[in-house]
Amino acid sequence: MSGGQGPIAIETRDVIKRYAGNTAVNRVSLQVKRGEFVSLLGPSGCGKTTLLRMLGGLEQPDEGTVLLSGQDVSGIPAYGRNSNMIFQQLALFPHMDVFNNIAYGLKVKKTPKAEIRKRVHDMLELVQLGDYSKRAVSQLSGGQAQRVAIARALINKPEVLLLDEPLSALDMQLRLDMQRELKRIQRDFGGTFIFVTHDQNEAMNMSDRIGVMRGGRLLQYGTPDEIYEQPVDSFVAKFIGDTNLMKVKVLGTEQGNVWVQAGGVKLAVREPATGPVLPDGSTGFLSVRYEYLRTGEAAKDCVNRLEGRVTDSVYGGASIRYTLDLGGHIQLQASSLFQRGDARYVPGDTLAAGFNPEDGLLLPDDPSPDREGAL
Amino acid sequence: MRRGNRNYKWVLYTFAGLIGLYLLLPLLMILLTSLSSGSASKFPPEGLTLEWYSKLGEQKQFLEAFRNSMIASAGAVLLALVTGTLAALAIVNYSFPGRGLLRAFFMSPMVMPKITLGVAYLILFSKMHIAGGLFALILGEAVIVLPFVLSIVGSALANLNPVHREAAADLGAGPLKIFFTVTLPQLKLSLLLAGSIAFVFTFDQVETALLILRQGSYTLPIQLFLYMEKWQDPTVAVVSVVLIAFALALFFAIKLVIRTAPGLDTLAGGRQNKGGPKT
Repeated sequence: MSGGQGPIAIETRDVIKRYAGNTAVNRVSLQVKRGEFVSLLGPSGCGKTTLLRMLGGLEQPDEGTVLLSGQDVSGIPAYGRNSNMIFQQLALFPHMDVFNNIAYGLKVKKTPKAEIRKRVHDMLELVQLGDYSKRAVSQLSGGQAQRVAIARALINKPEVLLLDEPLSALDMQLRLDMQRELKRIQRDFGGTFIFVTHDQNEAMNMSDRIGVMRGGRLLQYGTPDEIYEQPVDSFVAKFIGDTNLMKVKVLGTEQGNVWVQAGGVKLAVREPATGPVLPDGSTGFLSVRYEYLRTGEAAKDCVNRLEGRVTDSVYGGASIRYTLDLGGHIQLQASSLFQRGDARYVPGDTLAAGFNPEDGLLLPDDPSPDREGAL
Repeated sequence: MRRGNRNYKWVLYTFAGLIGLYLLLPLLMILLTSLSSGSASKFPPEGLTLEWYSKLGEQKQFLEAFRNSMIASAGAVLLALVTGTLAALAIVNYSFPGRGLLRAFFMSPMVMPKITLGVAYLILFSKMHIAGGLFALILGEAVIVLPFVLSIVGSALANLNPVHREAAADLGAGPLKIFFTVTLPQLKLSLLLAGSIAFVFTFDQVETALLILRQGSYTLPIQLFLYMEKWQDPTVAVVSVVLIAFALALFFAIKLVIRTAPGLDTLAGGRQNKGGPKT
């Protein structure tokens, strides 16, 4: 936010970080535009935190470069960079009160006392903790400690704010509140936020862009819509949202639809505008999101029609999730909106299901199913 | 059943009381002796008087020796606190070959016979032409109390959360700044604790001091020892009582500091209470 020119706030180019033979971050290139809220999402051990720490200068890449506002900052330690981090355990200084915690960054820079007081006051206002400046850190609740950590990091007016799963210790309700709060603070403050999380809902709720990571690689980087609608592979599809993945064989293309065979059934999938994903004869995955699989009456008009036996039905209030056994080891889950009075099926019932070609997605085989085990 | 329980308690109280009495007895005897009106340290005293207390002012050598003791102990403790903390920082925070060996080496004065160390210091400091003075004693005693500092400060340092240092670095503080604003403040109580234990330990150290020091720089324990060889009057008891009072004052001062020190709750294990009652 301060002193920034150019649209890119922070960028990595082919960064690699190895720990004792394991590659924690493997050739990741990432560009974050100024003012964006970006989430790095992935299962634990995927390298997202290591990547974040390299962005902040707490780790140095073995190869590749990190650019902050276009300047190469690789090799510059954290205290020489204009980026700030909010740690998972928050790391508030226990021997200081709230005021001194927030003022720390300014004191280090030998800012005049009057200015420190004013800016700490402004920060406390921003995070809505006006009267807490004299509180001891140990007297804060979880949510308040979060706010102090945010204020402490933002008072330096960082070009980029890095957040390392800061909400993971909070209970569900507080977590949702803090998500909203973080977005509000970002709006008011106008900064670039990079948020590491393993929670896909959190990422979807907050982000302008999401980077999905696995095994040290950045698998996909795009808007939440892109990631949800056009996942690059079966892992991303499975990790973001709920989806049925069926192992299929590609039969051929016909009028913009790719025909595939799953078990004994032939199904049509819309061919993406970018061209065929898989050559004829190869195997891959067909992904159909739970909510795209229509059931009952709605399935009648679908191009791909299936029929299965209900083996499980989970009532979720606004929706019901059915598990269908199609025979031939194919099980599908369908989640359908439920309103009182709608037909409800119980295990044992036969249920029609279906989906249209545009609601299915053909994905390549998982490129590295065993990579996670290696890390 | 209930009656039996009470009997059992009575036995416990008696037993605890007797042990307490046994621990206190020498101190009580010293106190009574110091009030004795006789000119020889006799027990039980023949009469009670404060005469010997008033005469203490005349015994300039004790005041001198007390001053020497204070200088030597304070000097040795300060030296040990600085070097011990630096050593602990290196040993705890960095992994280098021979780390364990270095730690064992720094801890070894704890088990080394003090008289052996005294002889060794005598030879060494004579060669350096500083033997006999308080400076030599400070150097020698600092080595002896180094293990206290190293173990207490070292374990406190190992318990510090490294994420605080990272946070400080992230907020723009360089390594030195981090040490003085984050690490050291969190070690305050451990330093106080290590310092007071080391101080009490050096204050009545006799073995090394006896060998190193020459007349004129004698410390209090040695001066008392020499006085007792010549005189039998209650002066020694009087000095002892004053010393006990001094030690008690020191103890309560430390307690007071610890009670008012901020952040003690975190040191005592009451880590950041996440999700407290106030939201």
